[in-house]
Amino acid sequence: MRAAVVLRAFEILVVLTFAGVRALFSRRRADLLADVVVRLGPTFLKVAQLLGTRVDVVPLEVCRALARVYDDLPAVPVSEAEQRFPARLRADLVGVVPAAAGSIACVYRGELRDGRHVAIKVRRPGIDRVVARDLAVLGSVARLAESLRVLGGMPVVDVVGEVGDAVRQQLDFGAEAAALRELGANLVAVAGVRVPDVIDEYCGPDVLVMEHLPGLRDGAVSAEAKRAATITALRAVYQMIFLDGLVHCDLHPGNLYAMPDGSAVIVDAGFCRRMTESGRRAFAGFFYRMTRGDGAACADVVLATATATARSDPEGFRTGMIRLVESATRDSVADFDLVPFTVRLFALQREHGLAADPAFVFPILSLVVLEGTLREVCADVDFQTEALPFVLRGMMT
Amino acid sequence: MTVDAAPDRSDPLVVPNSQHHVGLSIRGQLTVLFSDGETLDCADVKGLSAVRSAQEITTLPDGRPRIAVTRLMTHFHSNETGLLIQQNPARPNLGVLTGLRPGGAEALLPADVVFEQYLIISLRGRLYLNLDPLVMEAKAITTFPPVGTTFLSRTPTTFYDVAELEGGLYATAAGSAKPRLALASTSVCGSHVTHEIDVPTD
Ligand SMILES: Nc1ncnc2c1ncn2[C@@H]1O[C@H](COP(=O)(O)OP(=O)(O)O)[C@@H](O)[C@H]1O
Ligand SMILES: [Mg+2]
Repeated sequence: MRAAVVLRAFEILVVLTFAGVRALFSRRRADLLADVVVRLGPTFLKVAQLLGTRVDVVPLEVCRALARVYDDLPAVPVSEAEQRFPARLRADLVGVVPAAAGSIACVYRGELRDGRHVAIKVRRPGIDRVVARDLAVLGSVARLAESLRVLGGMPVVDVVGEVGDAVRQQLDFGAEAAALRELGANLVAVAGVRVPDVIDEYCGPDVLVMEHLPGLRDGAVSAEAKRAATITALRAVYQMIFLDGLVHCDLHPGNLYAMPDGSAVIVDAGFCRRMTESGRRAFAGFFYRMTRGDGAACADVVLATATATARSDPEGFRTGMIRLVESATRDSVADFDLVPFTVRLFALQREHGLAADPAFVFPILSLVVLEGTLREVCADVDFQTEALPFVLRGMMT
Repeated sequence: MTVDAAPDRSDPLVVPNSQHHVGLSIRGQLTVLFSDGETLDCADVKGLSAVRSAQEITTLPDGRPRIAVTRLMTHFHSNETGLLIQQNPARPNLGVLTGLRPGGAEALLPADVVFEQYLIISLRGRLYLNLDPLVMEAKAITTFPPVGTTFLSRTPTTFYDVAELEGGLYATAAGSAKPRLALASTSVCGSHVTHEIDVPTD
């Protein structure tokens, strides 16, 4: 393992050096960043995608560049994948074709003897070793970067640790199946949302089998249907963050589909996070007070949940928070822009020596990931009015 | 005490030091939200309201006159839903009226007016109160009391079951109690005066 880590570190250095030289001559640095990440392989790709959602610590321009990193890799051939299918699944399948290929897993469409269609998500062979090795390299780089302060005061080790955990979590198909099941049960409450059912009897340690939802990538979806589906997805996120506490943090366009009838399909529970009960209620309380323009009360909520560092300055934070909420609620509610507000909120915490509580980071992540789609499909959506019924019920339950 | 059947409510000079009892029926949207997602729309709300304005006006740095207004009584009910809204006697219900132009008492109208209300809702055999004020505002009112103008409450307000609050009606903090319902009144308009009594207080 050690030799592998060193060799890998060398390989990474070579890729980065070439990229660095090209960056000097290129004006399209964002594309270059995406290119480098793809060259570095699956772990870095996942890390980059996840970092791209961390508006709490990563500058917004970098997040937007990273959001363009898509994994589109060749699929593992069916014959090879089939060897990993549990015996029972193999016995009942009458046909299998590749459907999608990501960095960590490939998805196949299978037809069962009884005529049902299933989606079979299979972990790439050897991916756990690759991820372990790359995360070890990344951990060392993070420690070095933090000690040399190359990224300013950014808590590099913590962030890389958290993102690494999220990547590792995507290798755990048992957890993913459980999360998918729970999401499906929770989101029954939101009209027009579908989550594929898990078919337990065919699942194995490397294989997750779900009902196959047809037509996800057919493309023939009208603008109105897209709009309706996107607003439905926003409500689903509100249901998760204000009421259920199990949050799908990865609702990018590859995991969220608008259907021709205006419903929304959510797949891929590989990056879900559970909020604590007190965290969920604090978050709902924060949002309620924010819509009322009560910055002082918002500050109280954050101060009660965030972790104070040695140089924390609660009074400075309170003053900043009052100003931030005032500026956010002065204009009409419909003009409220979530992402800049969030970026300021996290910056304010950092500036005043407070570490944001995960209770706040993950729900906001999930909204931020959805924001790209919202901006594109229904830029005029009123975040606060849509949120309020969920916020109020979240406070009451 | 004099009772004036038809005071000129558009005269700014009637604002200071006056007391009004108005009976009104409300048009607009008054919705109660429950924790299980049920919503109750109350369309047939009517009732009584009484306000008294202070004797003294103050002047803002930009020269506009401002006056405090105390709500003496709020009593609204909806026969269809059984909703009854009253004022919480344990807390002051204060408002401010701010003239739009610089000047003295004669510039008190037209005005922006904001009320912060602490209420008791009686519904389905239980009493609820709010700990955050229910803020109702109206812009550029031209009569006082501002019957017929639309009041907006920008955001809903949560209400707690009085029996679950330490201190009951006198509670000022939620402690471990959760809110049990929320009142959203996006736009409320006292549509017509059923009767009115103007009582100058000196
Ligand atoms: N149940 C399903 N029915 C139909 N298509 C699916 C289903 N689950 C996943 N897919 C397709 O496979 C793709 C990859 O699956 P996903 O779970 O998102 O894997 P990854 O973790 O690699 O992103 C999805 O973007 C979607 O297009
Ligand atoms: Mg996916």
